[in-house]
Amino acid sequence: MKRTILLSSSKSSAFQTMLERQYGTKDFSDKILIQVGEDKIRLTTNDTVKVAEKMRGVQSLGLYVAKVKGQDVVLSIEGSQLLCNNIKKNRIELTEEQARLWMVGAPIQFERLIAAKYVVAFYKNICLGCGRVSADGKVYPQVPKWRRIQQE
Amino acid sequence: MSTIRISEDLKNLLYSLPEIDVESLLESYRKPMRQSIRVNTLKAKEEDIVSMLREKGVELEKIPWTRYGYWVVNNVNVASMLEHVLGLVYIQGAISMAPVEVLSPKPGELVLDLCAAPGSKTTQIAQILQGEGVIVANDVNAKRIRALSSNVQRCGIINCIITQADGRKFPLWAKSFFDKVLVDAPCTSLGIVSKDWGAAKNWSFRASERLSKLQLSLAISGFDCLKASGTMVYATCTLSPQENEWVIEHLIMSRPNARLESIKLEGLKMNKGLLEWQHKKFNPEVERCVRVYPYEHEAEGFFIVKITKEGEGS
Repeated sequence: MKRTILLSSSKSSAFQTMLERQYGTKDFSDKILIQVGEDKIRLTTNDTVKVAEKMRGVQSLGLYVAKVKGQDVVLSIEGSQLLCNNIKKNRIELTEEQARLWMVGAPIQFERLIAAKYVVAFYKNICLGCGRVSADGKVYPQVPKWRRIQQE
Repeated sequence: MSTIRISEDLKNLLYSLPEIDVESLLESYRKPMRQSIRVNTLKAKEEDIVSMLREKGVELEKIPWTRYGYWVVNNVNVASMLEHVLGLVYIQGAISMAPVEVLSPKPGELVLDLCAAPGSKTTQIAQILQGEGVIVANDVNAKRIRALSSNVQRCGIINCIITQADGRKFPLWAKSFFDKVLVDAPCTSLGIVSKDWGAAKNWSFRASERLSKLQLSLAISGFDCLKASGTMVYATCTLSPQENEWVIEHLIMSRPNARLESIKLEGLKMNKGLLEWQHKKFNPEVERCVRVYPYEHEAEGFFIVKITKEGEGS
């Protein structure tokens, strides 16, 4: 397993401040945040951490919720779904066709200018994780390859 | 219709099993199983997911023996739907949902899934725990753990620990530690031949006997990881008594505080465990095990047994 450390309270609050600045929410506060490797953040519970200390061969614990890229937080699909109802900033709404394209991993072209580096995509009331906004108005979904719908 | 090839050993096995309808079994091997799904209430409300699917033309029918399980009645490929990749639904065999219902984990409990990959039952347990308690999902195989990790992530589970270890060694660090243990043991897969015809072509008594020794070690290991008054479910998706009744008989011989419990699941056709096979008589308690044959529900065949550890609870 990659190096895993519990986020100290100062690092945890710094992370939540970044979340609030970018997405208008910091709702992970009642759970334990852990850092895996250099930049990945996972969410779990106190009990899970305690049990993991007793186990051998631990490969992972909790849920991958975000990656920190410089000053930005890129939410995973599940990370965005956990925060879904509270995300107030940097949201984009997708049609069903766009949502499918998103999950294929294809960029989505928007007419209007999006003034953010990362946005969270919504399809109906479901969050689909973050996308990176490029200068030409396209949003590139940050969907991992294993998660993508295979094109027929 | 294509012809399925059956090894000589398998023919001998099938005709040695009392009560089994061999013709119906072979017929069921030739047909695909009915598609079934579990809606994931860790991500959204059951009724919301069901109505989303119905709006898209998926015809669903509730499976009576399991919470959150549905038959997909019409011919729709759920695997390619957005709801599947987003983790709102999990494609899982209808009978494969039964062992977790028998285990009946409760929120707040510590649960071990000893042979967890690819994670169908782990994610089902986690769904029932509702984020309270902890599930340890173990597998020995690194490649299979990747599939397990993906499914645990897709289902949005925060209270799961994935470990890679030889399940037989678990009591070295987790003796009498868990409230519930599931041992869904590797087996010769005679209950899911319609998914893999090779299982019938290559089946042999020798392979079954070899696996039964591993299964017994895993069952004993799982039992030793249980707290007093804890519950274990041992399950396989095969029909061979060598991998089922034989394993349980030897488990209760080596662990006298193991008690077999009766199993009740609404709407599931169940047959009692065998008391005799090939002139070998099993302990009468073994009758409490259940066998489900593939032709009974156009789904998998399974062997399931519920075992409690006698003693004061902790």
